[in-house]
Amino acid sequence: MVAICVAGYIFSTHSRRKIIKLGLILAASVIAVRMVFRIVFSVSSASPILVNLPLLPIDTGISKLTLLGPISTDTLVSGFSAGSSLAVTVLSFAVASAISPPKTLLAAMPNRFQPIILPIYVALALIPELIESLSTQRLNRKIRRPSSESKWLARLSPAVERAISRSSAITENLLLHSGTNIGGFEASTPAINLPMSGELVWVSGDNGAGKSTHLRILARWATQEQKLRVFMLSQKHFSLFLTLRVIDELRLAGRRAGFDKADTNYQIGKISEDLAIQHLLSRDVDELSGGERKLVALAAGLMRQPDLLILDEPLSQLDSENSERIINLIRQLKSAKSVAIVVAEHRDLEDLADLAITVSRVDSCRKSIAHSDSGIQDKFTDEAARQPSTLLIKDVRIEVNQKVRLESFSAEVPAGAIFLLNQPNGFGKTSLLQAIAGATGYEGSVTLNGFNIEADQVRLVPQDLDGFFWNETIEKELAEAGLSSADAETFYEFDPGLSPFDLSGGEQRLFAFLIQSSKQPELLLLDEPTADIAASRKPVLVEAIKKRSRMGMSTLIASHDREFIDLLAFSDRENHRV
Amino acid sequence: MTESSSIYLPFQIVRIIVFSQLVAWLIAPVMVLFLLNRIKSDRAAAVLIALLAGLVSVAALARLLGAGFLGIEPVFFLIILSGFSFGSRFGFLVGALTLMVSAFISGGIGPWLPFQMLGAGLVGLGAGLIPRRPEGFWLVCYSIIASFSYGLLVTSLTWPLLAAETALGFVAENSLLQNLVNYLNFSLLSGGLAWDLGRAITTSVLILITKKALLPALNRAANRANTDLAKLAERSRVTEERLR
Repeated sequence: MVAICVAGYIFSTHSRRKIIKLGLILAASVIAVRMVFRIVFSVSSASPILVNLPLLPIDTGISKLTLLGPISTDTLVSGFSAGSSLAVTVLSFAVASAISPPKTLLAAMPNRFQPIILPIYVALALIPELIESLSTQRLNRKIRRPSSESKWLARLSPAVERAISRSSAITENLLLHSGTNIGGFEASTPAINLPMSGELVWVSGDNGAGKSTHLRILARWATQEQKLRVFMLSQKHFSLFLTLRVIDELRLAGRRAGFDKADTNYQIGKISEDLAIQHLLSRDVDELSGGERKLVALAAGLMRQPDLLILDEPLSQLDSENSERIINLIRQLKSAKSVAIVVAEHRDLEDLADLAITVSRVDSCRKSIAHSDSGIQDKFTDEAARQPSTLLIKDVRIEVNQKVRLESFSAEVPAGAIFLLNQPNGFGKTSLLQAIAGATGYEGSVTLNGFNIEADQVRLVPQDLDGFFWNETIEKELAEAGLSSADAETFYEFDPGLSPFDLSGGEQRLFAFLIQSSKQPELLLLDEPTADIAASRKPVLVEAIKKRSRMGMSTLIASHDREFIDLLAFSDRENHRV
Repeated sequence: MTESSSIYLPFQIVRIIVFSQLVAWLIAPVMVLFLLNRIKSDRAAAVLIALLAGLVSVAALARLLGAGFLGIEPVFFLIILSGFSFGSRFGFLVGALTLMVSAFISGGIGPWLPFQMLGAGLVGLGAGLIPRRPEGFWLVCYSIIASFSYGLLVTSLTWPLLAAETALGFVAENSLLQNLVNYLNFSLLSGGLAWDLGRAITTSVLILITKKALLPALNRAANRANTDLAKLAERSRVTEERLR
């Protein structure tokens, strides 16, 4: 048994090794515990006696016992043999679960059981997400710097509530992809017309207008009423990988779609070439980055040969190279005329302008965004403008968990300037901004007017807003930041009674900007401020940033959004440095 | 004890293991599947599934990150509160699935898993039967009973295996009283009782601190998950145009 384990350990992948190692440790400790019990509470004193330990009488309060005493070979042999039969049991479980991970076993259960064990799948997809979000939340609390350090208790209920709402989103996705029809998952008639195969519908609309809601309704209706195979890549994409390697994941998807082995391999080759993910096929799914997970999830979805492909913000969080791949794929799928496509995307799909597309524009009647395009005025005012400060970044190097995030970076942000960082993905822009905001450690020096930065001089609007809000209403959130509910109407009509978690992705970002910039910090840091923001709102945001800059705020922005950069540059060329 | 019985012992242990494993691996999954199937046929199944999976994930996370030393396990209070607010059926599933899913993720699958599932499941099941008023009193009483009962189950599993052939072991020829004394000595000296006490204290304290905030939050979350999509969409309209 031990030999099998050692061999297995040497010849297997990382995730399998972990399981076998754990099994070996547990097995060894079972034997050890059993031997200790046999020696300490010894009863038999058969010869030959090896060591004669002194007797140790104790009173447990229940009865009197005598510990230790003579140890014979018999003691050791029987202790070991009984212990090892336990250890073998433990090891067999470890080896079995290393050979066939429990998640894969679940996937192998007959189709009849699949809808029944759905909650287990949902939990398995949710837990890694929660683990990831814990560290983001910790970081974001440092960034927010709440006026009063709120206790863990106050954060517990919102955290549980959020976990449950994430859980219902994952449930919906899995129900959709399994084509299951159960109670509480009824379809209603969608407002977006179902496109024909080879047709492309582009859903556009303001932040919070309800694009995602309409997509979800369309997806449900197409699955249940039209009996179509639907694949939907959600905005916060939920990938549940049931196997250890990417290629196994695609094979499983192929098997589920009813392909035989040869067809599956052919499809895997074709789809991985289209998405340019051949180099990922032999990788462990645990090792994929965020963008790679998205591509693999899309590949697995395409393996199922969907009739309707729904992509909710497919390009967000992807760098330009990966965006290009997705756009090319959409182009190919459209010309192949085998699938109907619905895309919701804030970025202008100008690259697709040569294709005939239908635009579905979603307009909201919700109170909080009643004044959509026109009539929004940034009501931001403050006392006199202050003397702006100069930010000096010198030889900053950032390392997180022994991984270099930023390699020696220096820059000078002139007083009152709007400074842009537009280096490629993976450069370390996010890490740099977090370090300047004082949320993480760094080597090198960052100074404001020659002095170290004080906590209240700088404010950051982070890219990932997970855990950034934790109060029940927008009003309480504003109070926490030291603002009044009148401030809620600065440049966007936020309803103070609403929960911040009911805001859409773009609305949350605008609200975070409002909270962080309204207290007039000397230095404002913005990480991808236009992600999920509707095109029509970008000029307003640019105007707000410029106004704050004129008030004496120095601003450092990390962004890839060409449209946004152009808006900033055209309006304020002399202040804009790259 | 004679020479022959000590050679025979490993076989006895193997017999105990095989028998108890067969029974436990049959009962635990069958119960879970049976109850899950009933949830699936509920009128609001999608909402219940989301709620169940959400609670299981939070509890499993608490178990994976929680210390665990001396019974400081921040998982039982969530199971008890779930059973208390959503009923016995739901409580059993939260308990059993939490232990199962966290074992799937940590790789800690072993012969103990079905027993842990049943134990935690029963803790959640019992929580659904607690009298409603006075809430705090009954919840604390139940936490203490449940903590020690769970410990009893775990100890009953390890006792015949680890303590066989020692002064603390089970001996068929002994009187019931003598075996009980041996059992109590074992659970005291192996640290089991200390563990149970730690679990009882942690669970009661956590329940008292969190119940006020958590119970309404759970209900709110259940309602929010039930929000009708069609109603949400009513607040916006869609216009179409063709581009070329």
